[in-house]
Amino acid sequence: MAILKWKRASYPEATSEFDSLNLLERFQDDWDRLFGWSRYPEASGLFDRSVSPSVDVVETESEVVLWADMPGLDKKDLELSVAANVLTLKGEKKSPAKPEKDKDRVYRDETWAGSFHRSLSLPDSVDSEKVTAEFRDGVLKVTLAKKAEHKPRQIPVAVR
Amino acid sequence: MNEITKTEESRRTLVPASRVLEDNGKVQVRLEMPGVAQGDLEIRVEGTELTVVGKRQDEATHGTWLLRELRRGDFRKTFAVDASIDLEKVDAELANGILTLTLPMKEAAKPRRIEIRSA
Repeated sequence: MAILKWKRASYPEATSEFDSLNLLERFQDDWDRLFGWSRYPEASGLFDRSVSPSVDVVETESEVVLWADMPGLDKKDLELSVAANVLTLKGEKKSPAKPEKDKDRVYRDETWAGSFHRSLSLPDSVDSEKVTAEFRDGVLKVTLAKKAEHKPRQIPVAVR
Repeated sequence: MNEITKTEESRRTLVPASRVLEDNGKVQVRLEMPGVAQGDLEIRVEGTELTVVGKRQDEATHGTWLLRELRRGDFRKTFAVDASIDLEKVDAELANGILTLTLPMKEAAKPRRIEIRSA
C-alpha cells in the first residue's frame, strides 16, 4: 500500500499475523478504511515528523531483508543511511501535478504526499558495511548481509 | 513463532489508493500499486466498467518475520465509466508503482462555448 502513517502505540510487540490483538487491530484498520475514518491524528505541522513508512523485515540464515512500499517515489527522492547499526530511511513523496486549468478539478484523492522519516535498530548480527538497496516498481528492498560469525556453519563430524 | 511457512491460499485483496482528476478534456486516474510489475497487471473494459487487477509477486519465501507492517495482497479496483468517456482510447502507463490511466472524453462531451449572436 501507500506510505502510511505508522503508529501502533498500544501493542508495539504485536507483529505476528496470528496474534489476536494484532488481528483485531487489522480488523479495525479495515473497518476504518471502509468508512474513511482515521484513528490517527492528521499529519500537519509538528506532527509531520511522526510520519514513517511501514516496513516488512524478514531474517533468513544469511541476511536480513527490509521492504518498504513507496509508490510514486523516484530513486533520488530517497535517502538511506546506516550509522552505528541504525538504519535510517528518509525521503519525500512529491504530490502529483495539479490540473493546468482552473476549471479542471480533482474529483477524488486518496493519496498522501509529504516527507517521511524512520529509523530502525538492526540486529547485532548485521554487517553494516554490506548493505545493498534496490528500488523497483515503487518498492524499496534493502538487503543487509549478516556477519560471517553469525551465519550457520556446517561442522563436519569425522568418524574414526 | 513468526516463521514464514507458505503463501496463503486465499490472498487478501486491496483497493489501491487513487487520485482522479479531469484535465484538459481527459480524465486521469492514478492508482498506487507498489510491487506490481508490468506483466502482472491486467486492465479490462467490460461494457461500462473498467477493472484494474494487479498481482504482487515480490514476497519473501522463507525466513522469520522481524516486523510485519505492510498490507500485502493483490490490488483490484473497478470504476463505472460514464458514457462521455471514449473507452476505445484508454492509455495506461506504469512507473514506480503508480499506474496512470488516461481516459479521453468524447468530443461531444467536452464543454463547448456557445456564441451569442447579437440581434
